[in-house]
Amino acid sequence: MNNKKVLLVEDDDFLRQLVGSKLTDDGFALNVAVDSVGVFTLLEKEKPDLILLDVMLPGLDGFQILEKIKSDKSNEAIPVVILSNLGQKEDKDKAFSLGAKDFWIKAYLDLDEIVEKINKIFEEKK
Amino acid sequence: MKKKEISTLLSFIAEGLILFDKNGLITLVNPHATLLLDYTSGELLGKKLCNVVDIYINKTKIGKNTITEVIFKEGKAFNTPPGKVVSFKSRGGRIFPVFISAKSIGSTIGLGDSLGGVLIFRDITTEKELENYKLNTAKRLARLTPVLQKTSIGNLDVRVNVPSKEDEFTELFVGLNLMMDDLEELEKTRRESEQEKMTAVFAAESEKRKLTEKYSKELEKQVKEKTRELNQSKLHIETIIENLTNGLLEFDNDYQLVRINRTAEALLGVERKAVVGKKINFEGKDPTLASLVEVIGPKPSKGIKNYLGKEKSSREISTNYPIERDLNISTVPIFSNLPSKKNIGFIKIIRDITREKIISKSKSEFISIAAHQLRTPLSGIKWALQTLIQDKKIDDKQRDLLNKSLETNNRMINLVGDLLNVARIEEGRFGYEFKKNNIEDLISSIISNSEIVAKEKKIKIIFRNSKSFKPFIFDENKISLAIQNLIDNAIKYTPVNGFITIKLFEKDDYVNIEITDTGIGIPENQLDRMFTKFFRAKNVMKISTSGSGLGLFIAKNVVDKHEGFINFVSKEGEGSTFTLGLPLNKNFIHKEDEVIAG
Repeated sequence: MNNKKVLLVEDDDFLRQLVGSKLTDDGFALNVAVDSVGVFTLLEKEKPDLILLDVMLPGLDGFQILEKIKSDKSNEAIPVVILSNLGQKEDKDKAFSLGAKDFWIKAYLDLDEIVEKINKIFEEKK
Repeated sequence: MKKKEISTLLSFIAEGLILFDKNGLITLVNPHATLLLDYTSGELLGKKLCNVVDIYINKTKIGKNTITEVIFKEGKAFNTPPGKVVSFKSRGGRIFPVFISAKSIGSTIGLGDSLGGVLIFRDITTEKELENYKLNTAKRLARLTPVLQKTSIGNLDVRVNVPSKEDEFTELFVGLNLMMDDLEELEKTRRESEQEKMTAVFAAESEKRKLTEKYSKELEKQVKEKTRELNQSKLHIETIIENLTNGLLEFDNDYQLVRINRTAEALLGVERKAVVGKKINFEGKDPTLASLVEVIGPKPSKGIKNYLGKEKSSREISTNYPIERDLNISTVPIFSNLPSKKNIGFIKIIRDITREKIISKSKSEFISIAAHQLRTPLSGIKWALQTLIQDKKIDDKQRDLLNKSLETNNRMINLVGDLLNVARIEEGRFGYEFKKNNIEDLISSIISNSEIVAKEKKIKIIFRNSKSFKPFIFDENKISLAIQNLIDNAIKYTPVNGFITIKLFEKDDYVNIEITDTGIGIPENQLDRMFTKFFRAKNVMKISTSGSGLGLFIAKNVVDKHEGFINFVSKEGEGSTFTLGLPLNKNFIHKEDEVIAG
């Protein structure tokens, strides 16, 4: 449909499966990673149009991955949205200060809303 | 003159008169004389006077011819000798004093020519008595003189001797004596009273002396006791200080360490004998004193006054010696209790907050993790249910069931969110972000969010806006949460086909958001508990068991942080009106959360 490439970083199998199938169903080209290693391996190969990044991850956490992405010239342009169940002000502030595009709280969003929001970002970019 | 005539003449004379011849024979007597002498004239005539009347000079009878001899032979007048008393003795034996004067009559030529003599006498008994009385009185009074003299010099021992024979002086003397007695009595009384007074004075003085002694003893005792008490309380305080679980250091104004307790020794890794009584060297490089220097803090540039201030101050430090610790240091100035209130030193109280810090950090982390860990499966369920609901292969009955599951799951998500918010509020880390926001947009967006749920209950939400509001400062997310909670409640507790009216207006520099429902209302006896944590009204519990009881608690806290207000009126069975007020003046809002958030 739109063929936009989305990299989903989520360590929880169930959530990854749900979001992944939703995004695939809605026509996104999906890549998934469960930790920082996966993220950077994939980024070496292919640059996605958007990264959906969880915070609580094994190894490097979402903030550290975000920082690393934004500090890499080849990746810094990729919009990164934090998709997490954290969501306190300090978490948000930290994410935004590290260059996050947005901060979404999983529990308060429908899958439809997530897709809606992704599309909005892509529309902005046009 | 004829004899008869003479007699008649003489009879008028009030004195006794006797004429006699040269031989002393009486030739004539007047009646007065016969009366006095108690004879008839016949008995006297022709007789010698001295033969019928005894004559005494004083008590001595004079010779029989004494008178005639004196007047005829000596040719002198016989008168009462000066200082003596001449008395006659009458025939009846009455001796009476007389004034007597006898002389010869007639011839002035010579003695031999005398015609006779005349004797005139007068009874002077009365006169004598008077004289005697005078004398007696003088004599008696003379007796008083020494008495009175003695009396006048205060000698009251003497008394007038009262003669046994009563006379006119007896009364005087007795009276005098009585007076003397009285005087003496008075004197005695005076002396006695003086004595009493003296005794009293002595007694008083002695009593005073005794009391003084007693007081001074008492005082001494009290001083001893107080000293003992002081020593005791000093010991007491020292024991308390020594065993405080907080470290305590006392410095004088010169940064000389006055005392250090056991806990402080342990916390700072110093021994008192190495530091007490010493001035702490700020520039010292001794690593074992590093923590102590850290506790004292930076050296004041302008003396201790600038450093200490007047009030207790508190700060947190981290030390590395003897082990890593977080310490809270309170500095309390000590003031002299003299009126000058001079600062005489300061106390540093050290509290080991290492564990507290760890716990506080753990708690904070726990809340985040718990929120995350709870939300993750809830998100999964939520998404899975939504995915299922959208599946065209399931029937309506199944979809209804799944919708109810989704609703329950969402409540669970909200509850976790509420709990997280409450935890943050209580931690003072709710993370406020005050900036200019548009209240109308916010309310409109909340209403549009709520309308789906409202429609399900056929509740109509009406928004009445009095005017257009310029953006003002508030935390959009938190106020959104507060208003959302109020509207959620209104929808939740308003029966089907009800109305919710939201009014937005300005009043007294406050933006008022008024939410009125036609709901079940709040029981009157529970009104005061509305904003307490986990509170749910009795009537609400009967309708719906869901609801965390945290919504209003959170709303109240959010509004309080904005220095706004939240209040309500309600009538059970008719509905409630909640009014939330936010100040338009940004100065009302305090900044502490911004600082924490930063």
